[in-house]
Amino acid sequence: MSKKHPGMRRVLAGLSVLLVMTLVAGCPRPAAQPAPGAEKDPVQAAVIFSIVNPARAGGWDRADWAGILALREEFGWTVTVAEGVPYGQVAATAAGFAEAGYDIVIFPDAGMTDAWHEVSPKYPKTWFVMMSMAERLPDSPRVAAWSPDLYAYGQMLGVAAAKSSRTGTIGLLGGVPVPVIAYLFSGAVEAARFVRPDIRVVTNFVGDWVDVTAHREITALQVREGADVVFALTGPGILGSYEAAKAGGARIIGHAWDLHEDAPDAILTSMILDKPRMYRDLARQFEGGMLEKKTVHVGVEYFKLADFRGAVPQATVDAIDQLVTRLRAGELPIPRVVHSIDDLLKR
Amino acid sequence: MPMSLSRAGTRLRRLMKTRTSITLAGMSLLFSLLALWICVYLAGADPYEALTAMFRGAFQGRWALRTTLSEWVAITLSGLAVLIPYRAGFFNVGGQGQLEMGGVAAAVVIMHLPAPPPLALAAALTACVLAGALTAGIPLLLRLSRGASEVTTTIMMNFAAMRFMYAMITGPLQDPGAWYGTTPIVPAGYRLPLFPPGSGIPVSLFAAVGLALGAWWLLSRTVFGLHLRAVGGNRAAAAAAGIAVDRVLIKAVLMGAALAGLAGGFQYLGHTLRVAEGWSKTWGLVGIPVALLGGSPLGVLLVGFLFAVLETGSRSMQALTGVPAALVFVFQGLPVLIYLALGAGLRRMGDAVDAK
Amino acid sequence: MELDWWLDFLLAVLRAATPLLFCALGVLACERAGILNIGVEGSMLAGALAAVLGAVFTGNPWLGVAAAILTGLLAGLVLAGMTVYLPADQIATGIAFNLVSIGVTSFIYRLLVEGGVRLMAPSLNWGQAGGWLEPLTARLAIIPPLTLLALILVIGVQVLLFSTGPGLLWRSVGESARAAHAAGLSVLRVRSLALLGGSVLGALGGAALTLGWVPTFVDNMTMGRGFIGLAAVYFGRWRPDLMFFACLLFGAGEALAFRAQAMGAGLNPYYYLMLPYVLTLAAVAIVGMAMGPRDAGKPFLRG
Repeated sequence: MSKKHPGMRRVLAGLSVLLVMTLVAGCPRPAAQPAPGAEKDPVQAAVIFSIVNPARAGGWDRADWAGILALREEFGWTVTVAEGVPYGQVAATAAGFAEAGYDIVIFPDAGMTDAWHEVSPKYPKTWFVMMSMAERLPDSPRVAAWSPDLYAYGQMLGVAAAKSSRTGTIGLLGGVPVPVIAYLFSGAVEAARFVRPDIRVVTNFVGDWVDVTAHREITALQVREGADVVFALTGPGILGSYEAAKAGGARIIGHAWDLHEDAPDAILTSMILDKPRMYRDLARQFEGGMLEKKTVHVGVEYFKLADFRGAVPQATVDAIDQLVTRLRAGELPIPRVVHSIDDLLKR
Repeated sequence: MPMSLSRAGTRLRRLMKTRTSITLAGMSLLFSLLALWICVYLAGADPYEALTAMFRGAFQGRWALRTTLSEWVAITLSGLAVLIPYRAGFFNVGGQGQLEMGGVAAAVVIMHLPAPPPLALAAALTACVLAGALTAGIPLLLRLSRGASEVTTTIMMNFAAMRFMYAMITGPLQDPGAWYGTTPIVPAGYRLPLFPPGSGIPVSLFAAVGLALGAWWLLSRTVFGLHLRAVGGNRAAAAAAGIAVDRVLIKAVLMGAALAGLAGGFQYLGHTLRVAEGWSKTWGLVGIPVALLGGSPLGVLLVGFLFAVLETGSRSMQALTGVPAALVFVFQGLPVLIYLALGAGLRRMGDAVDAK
Repeated sequence: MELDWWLDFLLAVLRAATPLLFCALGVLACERAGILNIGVEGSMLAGALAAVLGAVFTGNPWLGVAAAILTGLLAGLVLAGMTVYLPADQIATGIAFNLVSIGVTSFIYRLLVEGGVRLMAPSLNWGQAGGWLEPLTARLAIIPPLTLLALILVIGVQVLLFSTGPGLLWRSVGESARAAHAAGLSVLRVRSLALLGGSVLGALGGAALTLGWVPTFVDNMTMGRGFIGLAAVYFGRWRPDLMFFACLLFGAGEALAFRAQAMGAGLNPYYYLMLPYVLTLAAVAIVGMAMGPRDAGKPFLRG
């Protein structure tokens, strides 16, 4: 066979070379040890993102980035960032960090719940922390979750949007129609109706997180339907929404972080999810040796509205502030109804 | 005309035909590695460190190894899905869509067929194979009945299939317990096992290697393989020689697409365990350069391994050195361009020497 | 539906169709000369990035368009070298070129963004065209500059191809390269010119996508539009006039996909989003057996 097929032999030779390379590279190496006598090693943390370039993202990840900066600058931690990791590869990435001797692995995204549950029991020496909605903790001693109540987040947002709209129509724009967004939007719809019964809410989904032209078109449609305030919960595609808002004289409410600097003339305000505070909580508890297996329920005290910077009259800002204060105090009896995506889409 | 020059030309050409394609592929990969090295340097990282990080990310630890091997399965099958139809003159760019539909079909079976594990697994694997083949059916039909270029139609099918997959995972197949768009996780008893158990080697790897060997046998050892080559080389001549050209083409395309669908099923049942947002990455598309560089089923296996290492390793390279993982795309396309250029250049040189 | 809705819809169709028109013309120009320009998607992506960067760095979107044209020329040189002069397989080259283009553009953009480059470029409109054009541009305001350019090019290519001497030679190279060669024509030169032009058109498609629509860059933002352009050429039977309607049809598919969702039937939006692609496939199925230029895709080897 090999006589007639020199090509085949070469392929096999090549394969075996590659396999040898695999074995050589695959041998576990000792992780770099710090020089003995060093006073105190910085804490080594790793954060895994499913998107690329979280520092510039238009969604949750942007707030996580601010949290990472807090860990680095205020606590002197060494934070490694893995980005653009597909959900299917999160487990392998997290395990890689654990094996490399990292102290803490942080998942900023509820889509990583599977990986969290799968990996953490295998590496009981490493902390695995979920910084997003979590219903139950994995079966491992060193796991914790800071789980935000995104329904309440949606409520605060709904109050702001309904009150700052002049036309009486607000838009809710989601990237992909996933349950977490439906949950958050439900809070927004109910709160908006509660503070302004005549409000009209138009909801749309773009179909992905990145396509800027699609974002522009669909935001423009919401503006045409009369929405002058649009809350956009999406990814890099939000740049298209800014363009549509500018062209149609509407304003965008940013999500998770103050996005004012991205488009000063298109942003009304931003709903802030104080992820840096969640990261600081984690850092303090870890350094104080008080971090334990638990779920921290992150509530309204972690949510706030960014400065309106004069985008609406001061009277409106005051009215919103007042309502938000009452919301925080639990004085607004907004019904807690969760709508399905199909219901949200109906006009 | 000096005799020696003419002989040199013939020799050059023969050289190219028989063994050079492998040397060329190796050379283009090396050149591309050099380009990658330069890009990493431009990105402000130490190339050696980056490459070490890449290899570590691909191999260090059981998880990494398992991911790399699973990617190898998906990429190899996707490569075969391009290669087999390509031999018959059909450029199947639709592997991605076929793979996704395969995953969706397998998920439907696992979620809705009330059957014991072995039966359900068998049904799911059958379903994904059928779904892959069906997805290629439309472009195939358009090619045969309308003369439509499959390059366009298979790509349209990719986009349509991706949208359909999203409609499923955010609709009827949505996991009611998950916060993001996904099917429920494959129940424990219904997963493809590792073999040997606990080793990190997915059982689908053996199937993929077996299928690659089978494809090699089929393409180079059977009458069908001969017909395939004839149809891909010169359709009219093949028809004149009494080959049922359309039937050969249909078989080749359906066979390839079925393999892409199988890749989707394998990944869902053994690796990702969910059909979710971005679950299929770009396996189907990576199959194209893999098939072009590999040139034969065994070559696909080999190049597929390299590309799988790059896929998994690039994430760790990004995490540890900050070099954008987008570089992987450069590395997927560049070797093919260099390979094509070298091949065509060599052929030309052979001709030029001949002409003198 | 009131008139206002239709006008808005029409403008949305034009917006979506403009990048497709450029790409389709770029493909048509090449196929008429016997070259399959699969790499148009890659040229488009490169043009999109170049246009944004040109506009950001100079502050003038018209210079962004110029940057896109230069990038298109560069892409054309690579593709012509590969597929005309070597010649390597046209489809394989195109597909590999597209992959490289995704990687290179994402890589460059990422490096620049980390270096602090702004995300948004100024968009292209008649306002920046300059003072003395003012009376003219005020009237044109409703049709964006690049859309107008695309329309002019469609008419221009139609006339050039079917009513002039050079057009006849151009088509003859695509129909029978050997006969054209025998008649004393330089097949290689015509083909490389076509490929240069085709790639510049593809890059202009990218500029239309960014500067003419949303002036920013996102990784792999063309999302298969170049291939829809390919389908439009097929659907338009390799004639610019019919191809124009094909592009409008596909643009309408895109515009309709969003409007259908806004009607509020409550159906999962992804079913609507399949529309442009399903429409393209249906169009290909309906159009019947179509034959392109006979020598398209066949390499020409000199003597």
